[in-house]
Amino acid sequence: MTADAPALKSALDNRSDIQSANDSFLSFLSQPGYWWTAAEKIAIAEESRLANRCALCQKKKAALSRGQILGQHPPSPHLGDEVIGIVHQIITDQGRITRTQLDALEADGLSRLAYVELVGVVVCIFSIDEFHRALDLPLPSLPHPRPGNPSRAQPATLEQTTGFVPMIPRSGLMPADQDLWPKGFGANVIRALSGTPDLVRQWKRIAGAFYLQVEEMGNLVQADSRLLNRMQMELIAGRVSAINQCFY
Amino acid sequence: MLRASAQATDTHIDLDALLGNESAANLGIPHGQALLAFTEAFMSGDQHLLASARHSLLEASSPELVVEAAGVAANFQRMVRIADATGIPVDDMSAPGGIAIREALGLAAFASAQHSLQPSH
Repeated sequence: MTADAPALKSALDNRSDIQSANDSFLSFLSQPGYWWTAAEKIAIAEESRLANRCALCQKKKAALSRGQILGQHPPSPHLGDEVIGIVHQIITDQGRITRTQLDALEADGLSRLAYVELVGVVVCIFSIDEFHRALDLPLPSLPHPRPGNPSRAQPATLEQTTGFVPMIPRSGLMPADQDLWPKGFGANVIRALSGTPDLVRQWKRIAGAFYLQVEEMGNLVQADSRLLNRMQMELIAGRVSAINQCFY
Repeated sequence: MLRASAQATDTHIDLDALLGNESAANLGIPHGQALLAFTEAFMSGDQHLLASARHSLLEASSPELVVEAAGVAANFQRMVRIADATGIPVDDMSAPGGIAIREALGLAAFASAQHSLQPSH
């Protein structure tokens, strides 16, 4: 740790919202999900942490076509190689994920909704880990899995008309899911994981602590709770997105 | 959103900052150069570079602001992956501001542009 770490840790200690959001996700991770057991969810998180050090993924990332590079990942007791591969790709080469690829995964048994849940787990733990890396703080320990089976619950209203995955329609929120997005909002990025609503709730909670609450996003000047003004935030956000080659 | 937030405060900025131009980042944005250097170092994966850029930002601002900057960077590491992993298109491709930004920054060259430019649904 650097000499700046104590000051940064002290500043972070005053941000109980961040600690609370991180703890909430880790607790969520320890519980059986919609389509994955708790042990599988934790294994997905573990693979997320391994992705940036994966030699096979580095070769695939550098290749003109990912299919040119053949090989298998080190095995996981809970996940198949195809699942490990897509977890790693979400971290290392997400811009080249295709519908065709997800169709092949579905044919191999990974349903679209199980994929949505997997994406949610990957992106939430990755975001938490990246926050800690940015501040040179140790990564939080992953939880121990709780027993139980996946619920296999899914929203009553799903449509597959946008992107690769089923989503709740903008105006199709049932009473139990009214908290997912404000009436009239429902941007695609909010709806993207709505096939597994608790993943939307988890990432929104993390986003509300790391960036802004959805309800604050209309304030283009400066949120009362922040030192960074909106231009400063969007400079960081825009540059991270540009380096990631994100068109959205 | 950078342009929209600048317009909201009638601030003149240079969007070349989003291409990594540090002098452009300083135009109208407090601590712009230090924030951009921190972001570049964070995205480089080089922990020594990151430590240096984080220290410079801390010296120029405060630990609380560095924590916020880390949060924003980490947040958008997530957002881009949600968007690309689910193949979602831009919500409104016809918005004039978005068209101008995409052209100015050459975003159509990104692989994920196909989700919006050639959506299969």
